[in-house]
Amino acid sequence: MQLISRNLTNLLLLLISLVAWWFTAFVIHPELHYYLQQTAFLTDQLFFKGFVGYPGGIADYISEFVAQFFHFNALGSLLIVLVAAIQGIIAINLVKRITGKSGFNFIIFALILLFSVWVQCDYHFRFYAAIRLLLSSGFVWFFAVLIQKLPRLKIYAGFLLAAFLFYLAGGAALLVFTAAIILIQIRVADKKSDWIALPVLALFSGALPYLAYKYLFLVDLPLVYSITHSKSPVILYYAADYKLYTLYSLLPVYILFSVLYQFKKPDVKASSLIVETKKENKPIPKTDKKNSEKTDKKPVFTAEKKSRNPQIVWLSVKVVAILVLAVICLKSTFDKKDRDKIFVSFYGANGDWAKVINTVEGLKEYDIFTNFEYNKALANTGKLAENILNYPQLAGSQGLFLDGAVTSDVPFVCSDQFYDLGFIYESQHWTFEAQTIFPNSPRLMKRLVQIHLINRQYKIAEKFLNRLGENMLYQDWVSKHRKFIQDTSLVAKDPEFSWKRKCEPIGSFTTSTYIQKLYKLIQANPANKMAFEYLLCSNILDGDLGTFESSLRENPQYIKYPLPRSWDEALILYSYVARKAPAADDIRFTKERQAQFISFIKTIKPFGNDWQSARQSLRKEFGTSYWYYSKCLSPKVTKVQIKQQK
Amino acid sequence: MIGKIHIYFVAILTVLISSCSADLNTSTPVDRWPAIFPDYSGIVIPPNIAPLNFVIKEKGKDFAARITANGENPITIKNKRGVIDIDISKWHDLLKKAKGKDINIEVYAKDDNGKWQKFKTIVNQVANDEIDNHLAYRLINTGYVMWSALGIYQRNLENFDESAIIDNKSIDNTCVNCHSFSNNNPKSMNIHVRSTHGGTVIYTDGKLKKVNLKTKYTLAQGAYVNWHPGGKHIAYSVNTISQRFFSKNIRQEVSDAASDLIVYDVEKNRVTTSPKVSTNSRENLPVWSADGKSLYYISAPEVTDYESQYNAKFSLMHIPYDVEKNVWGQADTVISAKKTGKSVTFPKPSPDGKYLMFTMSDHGYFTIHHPDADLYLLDLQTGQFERMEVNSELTDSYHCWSNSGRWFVFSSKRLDGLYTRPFFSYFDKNGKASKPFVLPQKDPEFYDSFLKNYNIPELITGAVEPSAFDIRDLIMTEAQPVDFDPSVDKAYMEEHLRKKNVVQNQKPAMTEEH
Repeated sequence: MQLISRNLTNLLLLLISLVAWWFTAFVIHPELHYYLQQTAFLTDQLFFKGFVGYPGGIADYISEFVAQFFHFNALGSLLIVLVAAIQGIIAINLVKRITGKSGFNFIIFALILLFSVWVQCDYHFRFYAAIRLLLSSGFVWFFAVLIQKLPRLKIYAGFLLAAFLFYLAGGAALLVFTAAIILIQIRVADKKSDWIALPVLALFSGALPYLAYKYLFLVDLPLVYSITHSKSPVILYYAADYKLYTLYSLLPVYILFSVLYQFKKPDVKASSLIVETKKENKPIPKTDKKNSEKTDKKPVFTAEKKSRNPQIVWLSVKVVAILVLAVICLKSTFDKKDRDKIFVSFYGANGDWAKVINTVEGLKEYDIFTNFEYNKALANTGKLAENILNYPQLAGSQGLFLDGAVTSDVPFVCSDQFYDLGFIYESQHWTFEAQTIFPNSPRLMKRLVQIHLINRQYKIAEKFLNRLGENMLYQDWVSKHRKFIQDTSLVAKDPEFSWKRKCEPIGSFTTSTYIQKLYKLIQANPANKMAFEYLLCSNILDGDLGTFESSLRENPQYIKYPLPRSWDEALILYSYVARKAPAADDIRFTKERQAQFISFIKTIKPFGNDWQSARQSLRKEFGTSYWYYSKCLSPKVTKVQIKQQK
Repeated sequence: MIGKIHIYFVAILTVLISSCSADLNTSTPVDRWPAIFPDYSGIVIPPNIAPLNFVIKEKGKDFAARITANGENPITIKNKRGVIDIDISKWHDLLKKAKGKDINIEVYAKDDNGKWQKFKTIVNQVANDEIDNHLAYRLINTGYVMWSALGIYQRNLENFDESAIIDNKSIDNTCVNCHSFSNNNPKSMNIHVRSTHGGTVIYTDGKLKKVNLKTKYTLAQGAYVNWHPGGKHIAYSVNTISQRFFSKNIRQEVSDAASDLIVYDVEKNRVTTSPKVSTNSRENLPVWSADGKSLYYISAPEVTDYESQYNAKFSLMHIPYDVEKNVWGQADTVISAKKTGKSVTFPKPSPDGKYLMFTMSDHGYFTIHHPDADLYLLDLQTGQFERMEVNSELTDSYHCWSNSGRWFVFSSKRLDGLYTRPFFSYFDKNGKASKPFVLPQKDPEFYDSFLKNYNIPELITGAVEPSAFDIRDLIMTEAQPVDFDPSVDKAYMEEHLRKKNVVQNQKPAMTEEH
C-alpha cells in the first residue's frame, strides 16, 4: 500500500511538474523574460570578471547562463521547472532526514513549485533570485549530509559554508541557510557547546554581509542583504514581494515544522539521535529491496515507523488543495494584459508586424507604448495612413515618436524605429543610449553591427560582431554577417543595407524634433514612403490640416487613388473647414467617403456642439474615422496627459 | 633511477629549447615590418612600463617573438596563436638593463612549408625617465544622456593591476567624473559626483571631505577642475551645459549657454571669483601655470543664438592671479580664435613651464567627438605653436603631462574611430614627442572586445590614498556648503547671474533618469 502511495506521490509530483512546465511555456512565456531583460551570456573572461567582485555574483553568472535559454520557450520553461524541482527534492530529502516521514512530500514539493512559477509571472523577476535560493538549498542539504558523515564537524562546518555561500549567492541566501541549519542543529544538539554555537552562527551570518560591505566589496549596503539587487534602471526595476519572500521562507519553515514534529515525540530523546542506523531484524521481501536499501542508509535523524494508514484519500485532498491554491494565486495576480503588452513589444522588436497588429487589436486598455508599436507595425507594412485610426490615438502625434524625454524605456524603441526609417545615425545614437543599460544585449549588438556596416565603419562592425560571437546563441547570425566584413562590397549588394544607405540624410546637421528628422529623411530620399506617411499622419493627428494638404500637394509621387482612409477623411474635413471645394485637378477625395462625412454631420447635428454627448452615437459607425478622432479623441480636445510606462 | 630520469628530462628539454632557437636562427628574412597589434614598433618606452604584449597579425602555422637588449638574455615566446604574452619579471629585468638603450623585437612566422620567416627587427628605445606609475581614468559606455555602470579606476602602469577608486554601483549608480590631482600627486584629489548624492569630493592633507560648490553668486556646481601646484587651491569652471545630437561626423556637441571661473580655497572652505573671469563671455577649462602665479583658460563670446552656442570658437586666455593675496591681474589673449579660425581647448602647461599643450578643433571645446581634434604644442617662450606629430586622422583630445614632464598621455580614437583609448608618448628636452603607444594589456586582444571608453586619463605618481570604501562612505553623506568670498562684488555677480537667467533654485545640469 505504501509502495503504491509512494509511487503515486512520485507520479503526482511528475504530473504537477508537467503542469507547471505547460503553464510556464504557454501562459507565462519565458521568452518574454529573455526579451525584456535582454539576457546575455558571453563566454569570455571579461564577462565573467564582472561577476566575481560582489557577493552573489557567481549565482548571477550561473543565472545568466541558464536564463539565456529562456530564448527558447520549451527549454526555458523546462529549466525554470527543473530549478524549482531540485529545490523541492532537496526539501523533501531534508524533511525525511529529520522526520523519517515522506507523507508530506507532495505538499513540500508542490508549494515550492507553485511559488517558483508564481514569481515568474512578473516579467521583471530576476532569475538569479531563484538560482541563489537553489544554491542555498543545496548548501543546507550538503550541511545535513556532512554532519551525518562527519559528526565531529557539527555546527562548525556551518561557519565555513556560510561564508562560502555568502560569496556565491549573497546575503538573503545566507539568511535562509543559517535559519535552516540552526533549526537542524537544534534537533541534534546534545552538548552545551553545540547550543552556544547557534547564536554565534546567527550573529556571524548577520554581521558577515555588513563586514563584507564595509571592507571587502565595493557595493551598496542593500545589495549584501537583499534578495535582489537594490538598484537597477527603471525599465528593469523589480521589487521583491510577498511571493518571493514566501518562496525564500519555505525551506526554513519546512525544517521548522519537521523539528517541531520530532520534538512532539517524548519517547525519542535528542541524545539518542545518533548517526548510525538501527539495522532492521525483519527479513526484507524481494519486492522491497529498494526500500530496504533506503532504510539501510544512515539517516541523520530517526526513522519513524511508517503509517500503514491508507493515504490515497489524503493525497487526493492535498492535490485538490494545491490545485485550488494555484488557481486562486495565479488567477488573482497574473495580468494577461501586461503580458500581451510585452508581447506587442516583443513582436515589434522581431518584425512580426501581423502579430503586433493582432495582439494590439485584442487589447482593450490604452497604452502609449502599445500605441507606438501599433503605429510602427503599420508603418512597416505600408498601412499607417490606411489603418492608423483603428487604434484610438489618444496621445495624438506623440504616439508616433517617443524620442522626447530620455528615460530608460525609450532608447530601444527609438533605435529600432529610426533604423526602420533609414536614419542610421539617429538609430546609432539611441542604440548607444540603450547600451548604457544593457551593455551586452544581443539585440543591441546586432543593431550596432548593422549600423556600422551601413555606415562603412567596418572595423567597428567587426568589434561588435566579435563581441556577439561570444554569445552561444547567435553563432549563425554572426557567421552570416561576417561575410560582410570579409568582403565589404557585399554590403552594397544587400537589399536592406543598400536601401538604408540611400535613406540616410546627408550632411552634418542637428535636429531637435522628429518632424525635422522626417523632413530630412524625405529630402535625402524622396522614395522614403515610410517617412512621408509618418509626416502626414503626424500632421493630421496634430490637426494641422493646412500643412497636411500642402505636403500632399507638394509630393504627388505619394498620391495613389483612392487615398488611404485617414488622409481621405482628413482631406474632406479640410475642405469642409476651409470651405472650398476641390478644383478638378486638385487632390480629390472619394465620393463614398464624402457621403459618410455628410452622414457624420447629420448625426452630430441634434447634439449641437456637445461632442461629449454625441460620442456614444458616433462611436459605433464613425469610431475609427478621422472625424471622430479630431472631435472626440485628439489630446487637443481631451486635454489628457499620457503617462509613459516605466 | 629518479636521478637518471631527471637527467634525461633536462637533456631533452635543453635539446628542445636549443632546437627551437636553432629553428629561428635559420629563418628566412622578410624585408618588411611585421603586422602586430597593438603597434608597439618604433616607440620610446618608459623603463618601468608593464610588458607590451602584442599579437602577431601575420599568416602562419606558428609564431614566435624574441626580445633582446644588447643581444643578451633573450625572452623568447612561441605559440600557434601568435599571442605574445611576456613574463613580467623577465620584462622588467630586460628594461632595467636596457635603460637609455634599445630593445629589439624579432618576429617570426612559420609558413605552410614549415619554414620560419623573420620580419624586420623592431627597435624600441627605452627612456631613462620613468613614467608616473599609475594612470587614473573613468570607464564609461558610449552614451550621451544616460548612464548606468561607470566608475573611476586606477591602473598600475608597471603591471596590469587595475582597481576602483570609486565604482558607481556602490553609490546608487550615480555619476562620478572630473577626477583631478595636484601635480600628479595622488595625495591631493578631486572627484565630482553628479545627480544623486551630488557634491565634490576632495582629498588633501590625508583628509576626505565633500562640499557643495554651488553658491548664491555662482552659476553652478564646479565642473572642469585643476589643482593649484601648491595643493591648497582648486580652479573650477561653472557651466550651464547642454548637448545636441548631429548626424554624420560629430555625433554629439556639448556646449554651454554660460560659464565662468571660480577658485576654491581648500583650507578656508571658500569660493572666490572675479568679474574678470565671470564676464559675459564664456570662460572655461581653467588650468594653473607651472609656477602657480596665473591661470590659463579658454574663452568664447557670449551666446546670442544657436549658432553662437554650438559653433563657438574658443580663444586661449591668460590671467595672473595671486592666490595668497587674492588679487587678479588683467586677462590677455594668448591664442586668438579669430586669428586661427579654430577653437582651443584643454590647455595644459608642462611642469617646467616651457610649453603648453592644447587641443584644437574646428569649433567647441568638448572635442572627444570631433574627428578633427588634434594636439598642439605652444612654446611659451616664443609664443609659437604647431600641430604635434603624435596626431592621427581621428580624434586626439584630452591629455595630461607626467610629473617630470617627460611623458604625456592623451585620449585617442585612432584604433577604431569609436572608443577612446589612452596613448602615451615621450616628450624630450627639445620639445619633440615620440610615436605614441596604447596602454598595454595582459591580453593584447583586449581592445577588440572592450566596449568602454577611457575617459580623462590622468597620470599619478602612486596609488590613490583613500580607499574606495572611504570614498564611497563619504559620497553617501551630505555635502557641506562653502562660503563665498566677501571681497567679491556681489551686486555684480547677482546682476551677472540674472543676465544668465539663473535662478537660485535651478536644477543641476544633468538630471536625466538612468
